[in-house]
Amino acid sequence: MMCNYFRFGGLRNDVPEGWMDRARKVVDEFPAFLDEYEKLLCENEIILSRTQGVGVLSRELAISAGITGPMLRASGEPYDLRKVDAYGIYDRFQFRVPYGEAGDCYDRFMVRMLEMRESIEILKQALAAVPEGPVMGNAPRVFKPKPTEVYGRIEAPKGELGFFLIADGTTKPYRYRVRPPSLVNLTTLRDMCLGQKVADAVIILGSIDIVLGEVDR
Amino acid sequence: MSWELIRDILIATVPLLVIFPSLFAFTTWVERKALARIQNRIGPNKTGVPCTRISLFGLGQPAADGIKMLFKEDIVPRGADRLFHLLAPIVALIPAMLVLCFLPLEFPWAKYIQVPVQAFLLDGAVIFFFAITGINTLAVFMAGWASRNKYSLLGGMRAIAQMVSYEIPLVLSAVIVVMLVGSLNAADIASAQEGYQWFVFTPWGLAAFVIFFIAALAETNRSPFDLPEAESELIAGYFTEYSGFKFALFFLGEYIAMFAISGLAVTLFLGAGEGPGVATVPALSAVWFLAKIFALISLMIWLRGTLPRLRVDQLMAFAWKFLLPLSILNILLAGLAWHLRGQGTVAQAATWAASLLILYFTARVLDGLSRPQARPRQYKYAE
Amino acid sequence: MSLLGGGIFKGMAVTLRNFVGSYFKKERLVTNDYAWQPEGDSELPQRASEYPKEQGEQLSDTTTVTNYSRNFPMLLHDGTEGSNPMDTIRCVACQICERECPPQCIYIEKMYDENGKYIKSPAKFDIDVSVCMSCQICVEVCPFDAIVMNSQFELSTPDRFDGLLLRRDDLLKSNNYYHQIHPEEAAARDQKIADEKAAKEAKKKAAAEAAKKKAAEKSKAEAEVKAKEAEGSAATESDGKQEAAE
Repeated sequence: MMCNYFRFGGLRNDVPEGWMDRARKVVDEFPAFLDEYEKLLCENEIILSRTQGVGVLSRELAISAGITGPMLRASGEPYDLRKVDAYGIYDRFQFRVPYGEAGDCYDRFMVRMLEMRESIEILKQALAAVPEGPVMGNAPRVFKPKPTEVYGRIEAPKGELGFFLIADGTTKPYRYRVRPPSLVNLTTLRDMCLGQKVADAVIILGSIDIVLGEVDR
Repeated sequence: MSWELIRDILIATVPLLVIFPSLFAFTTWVERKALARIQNRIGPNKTGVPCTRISLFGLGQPAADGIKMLFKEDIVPRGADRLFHLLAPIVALIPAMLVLCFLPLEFPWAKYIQVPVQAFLLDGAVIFFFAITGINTLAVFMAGWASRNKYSLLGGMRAIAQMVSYEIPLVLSAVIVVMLVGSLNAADIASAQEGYQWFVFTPWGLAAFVIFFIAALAETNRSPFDLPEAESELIAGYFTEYSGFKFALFFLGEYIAMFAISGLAVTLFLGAGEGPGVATVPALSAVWFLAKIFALISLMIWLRGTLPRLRVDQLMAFAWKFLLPLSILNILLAGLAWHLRGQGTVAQAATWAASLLILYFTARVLDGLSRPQARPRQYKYAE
Repeated sequence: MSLLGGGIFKGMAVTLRNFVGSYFKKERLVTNDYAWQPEGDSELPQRASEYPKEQGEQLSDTTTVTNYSRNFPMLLHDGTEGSNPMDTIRCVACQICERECPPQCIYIEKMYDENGKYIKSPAKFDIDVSVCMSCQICVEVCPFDAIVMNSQFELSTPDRFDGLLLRRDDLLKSNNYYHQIHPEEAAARDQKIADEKAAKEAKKKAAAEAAKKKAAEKSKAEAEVKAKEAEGSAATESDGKQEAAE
C-alpha cells in the first residue's frame, strides 16, 4: 500500500471488488507456508549452532537503551504497544505476545516467526469484522491546531515508531520528528558484538532486522 | 614409445578428457536449474541454440558462460607473484583430472586396447588418489599467496585448514573398505562388491559412507562447508583476484574434483558400476557408474540448496571432535565384525545391531559434547 | 528424543517437496516470463515513447494488468483518430500538478502567442518517469481532469536520462483510449464532468432568469415612477392653468 492511501479521516478509496476474498484466501493459505519455513529452519542444527548464544542482549541493557519491538521481547520483557497503549482498535482483537528468555539471535528469530502467526490471527478477526459503509469521514483538508506538542507511537515491525509534533497555531508544524526504531536498536550493536567472532557480526546485524533508510534519513 | 602404446594411451585418456568436461558443463546447468526449482523460480531458460530463438531449456548457458569467461580480461594484481598466479589454477586442475583415470570405469572402447596401459591398473590406486588430491591444498595456498591480498591469503589459509582437517576422516573411512577387501586396487574393490554386497549396506559401511560423503563435501569446498568461497564472508576467498579463464579453470577443477571424489565413493561403497542388466550388456556398467556419480552430485546440490554455512571454528570442531573419533570407532567395529564373520547368522545379526547402536549413541554423545547448548526451545506467551 | 541430524533431514524434505512441487503446482513458481518480444531483428527502443502506440499499448501481459492498474500519467485530449491532439487538449498549463508532485518530476512551460499573451495550453509538459512514483496526486488535484494514470509498463530503454523523459506529445492519449484501459474510472470521470457542466448550465440559467426577473421588476418600477411624475406634472399644469383662468 502506498503511503498515499491513508488520509486524515479515512482512506482514499474503497478496496476493489474481489479484494476481500483474495485477502481471506491469503490469510487462509499463509500458515501452511509458515509451517514449511519452520520445518526448514527452526530445528536445523547448523542454524541452531550459529544463532544460539550469539549476540546476547540482556533485559536490563535493552530496557535502559530504549530498545523496543521484537528485540526487547526476545530479551525477556513482554512489552507490546498494541497491548500497552491499545491504540486504534487493537483492544477488539484477541492475540498473544510471544517473548523469549535468552535474548540471543535465535530468540529474536523465533519471536518474529511466532509473531507472524499471531498477526494472522489478528487479520482473520479483522477480515471477519470489517463493517459496510463509507471509507472517508468529514475531515478538513487543512488543519490549524492550537499551539501544543504531541507524541504518537505505534508498534512497527522493527519496534516503536514514534511521531513528535510541535504545532504553533498555523497550518505548518514548528517541529516534526520521527523516532526511528532501527536507529535506536542499532545503538546496541556494539554491546552485542563484543566477545563474539567476526563471522557472527553479520548474523547479529541481521537479527536486528534493520532498515537503514530510517537510520540514515 | 611404440605407435601402439601411444594409440592406446590416447584411447584411454582422450575420452575421459572429453566426457568429464562436458559432464561438468551439464552439471553446472543442472545445478542452476535444480537450485532454482528448490527456490521456486525457473533458472536459466532462454539461452539455447546461439543466434536463434530456440531455447533448449537453457542448455546453452554453460557454453555462454564459458565463452564469456574466455573473453574476460586477465587481470594480475600489481606486485603479485605472476608465476604462481598463473600456476595455481593449473595445479588445481591437473590432479583432479589425473585421478579420474584410476576409477574403474570400464568404457566399451577399453577392449580395443591391446597393449595394456599398466599405469591404469595401479595396485595402490586408493593411496594414489589421496596423495594426488592432496596437491589441491598446495594449489589453494598458491592462489591465496599469489594474489597479494590479505583477505585472499586469509581465505586460502582457512581453506587449507579445512581441507587438511577433513582429509583424515576421509582417509579413515576409506581404510575400512581397504581393510575388509585386503587390497588397494580399485578393480579388486569393485569385484569384491559383486552380487549387491555393497559396503554401504553394512552398518559400518553406511557410517563410513556418510563420513566419507561429509568429508568429501568439505574437501571440495561445497556447501555447507563453502566458507573459503562464500561471497558474504570473504568476497570469493582465495580466488578473488582471478578473472576470466583462470577463474574458469578453478571452477572446472572444483567440479572435476567433485566428480573424482564421488567416483571414489561409488567405487568404495556403492558397488562401482553394478546394477541391473550389467551381466547381459557389459557396456551398461559405465552407464551405471556415471548414474551413481550423478546421484551423489544431486545429493550435493540438494544439500547446497538446503543448508546454511558453518562458521569456520564450528567446521573445524566438527571434523576433529565428531568425525574423527567416529571414524576411528568405525574402524574398530568393522574389524571386530570381520573377525566374527564366520560364526553364523545369529552372531552376525547381533554384531550388526550392536554396531548400529554403538555408532548412533556415540554420535549423539559426541554431538552433545561439542555443541552443548544448541537445542530447540519452547516459548512463552503473554496475554 | 529426536533423531541426530533430524533438523537437517526435515529441511531436506522441505526442499525436495518444493523442487517436485514446482513442476506440478504452477502457482508455486512465481516467475512471470517477460511479456514483450521484439519483432524480427529489432532491438529495444531507444526512448520510452518509441514503443507501439495506441493499439498495441496494452502489451500482452494480461496476468498483472487490470482495470485498476496504474503506472505513469498521461494527458487527455477529446479528439478522435487522425485529429490533432493539441486542438482538444484539456490541460491549460495551470501548473498545479507541477507544484503538488512530491518528487517534482513534472516540468511544464506555458504557451504564449506572438504578442506574449498566455494561451491556455502547455508548450512543454515533461514527466521524468524514472522519478515518478505513481502516487496519483497530480490526478487528484487537476481541476480540469486533464491528467490521468496510464497502465503501460513497457518503458525500458538503454538510456536512463533522456530515454525515460516522456514529452508532451508522448503523453497525449485520447479519451477513448482512457475508456479502453480504465472503463469504470473513465465513465465516472465523464459523468462528473457532465454533471459539473450541467450544474454550471443550470446555475447560469437560473442567474439569467433571476437577472431577467430583476430587470423586469426594475422596468416596472421605473414605469410606475414615470407615471407618477406624469400625473404630478399634469396636476401642476392643471393648477397653473386654473390660476391663470381666475
